[in-house]
Amino acid sequence: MPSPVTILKFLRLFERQGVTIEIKGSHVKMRKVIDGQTVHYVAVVHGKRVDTVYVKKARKAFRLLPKDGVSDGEFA
Amino acid sequence: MGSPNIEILLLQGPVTVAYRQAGRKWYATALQFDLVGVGRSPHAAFNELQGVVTTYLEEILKTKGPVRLFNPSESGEWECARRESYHVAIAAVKTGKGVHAPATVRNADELRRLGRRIAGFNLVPAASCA
Repeated sequence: MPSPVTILKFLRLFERQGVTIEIKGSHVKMRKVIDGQTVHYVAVVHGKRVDTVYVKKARKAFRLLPKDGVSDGEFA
Repeated sequence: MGSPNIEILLLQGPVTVAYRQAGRKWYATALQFDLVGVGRSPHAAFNELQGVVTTYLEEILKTKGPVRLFNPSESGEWECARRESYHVAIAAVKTGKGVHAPATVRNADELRRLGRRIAGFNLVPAASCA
């Protein structure tokens, strides 16, 4: 498994893709309107880091994968 | 002993939780929502997932307009060997007017219609709902 990313990097990666983020305790509440429908995702912060599984899952939820036209480089 | 002012409803359909291990970590994924809990044991990962699912559903409740409730995991994750079946139980306060919610909540609109009556969510083993 790749190393977890810092919470600051996680926020930066998704906010620049138009995802609105709110942190409550250890939960990172994410949302974005896609095709007129609000999509939510919830990630978890462990310490100051976010497991890379949440990057992968949130990219899928918000259609930010290469098949959606967003390169992996955007999340490197 | 349950409170007489609370009724327990179920979100329609099971929630399948798949477990996998990578290194020292365990991952519990609710496949119908693609939500994940991480921990040092399957039990710890599931406990974290419970909280994540609750927060997710609370956010659905707060959202106005069209909202996506289900977000299935990729097909490969459904083939995981270690899986358990759960239901989302919804604790709702009775209205006191003799009007009860349907026992099964089918979608986000029905969930949001319950609104402030909802006291909490929990994942309960599917077998206990039979």
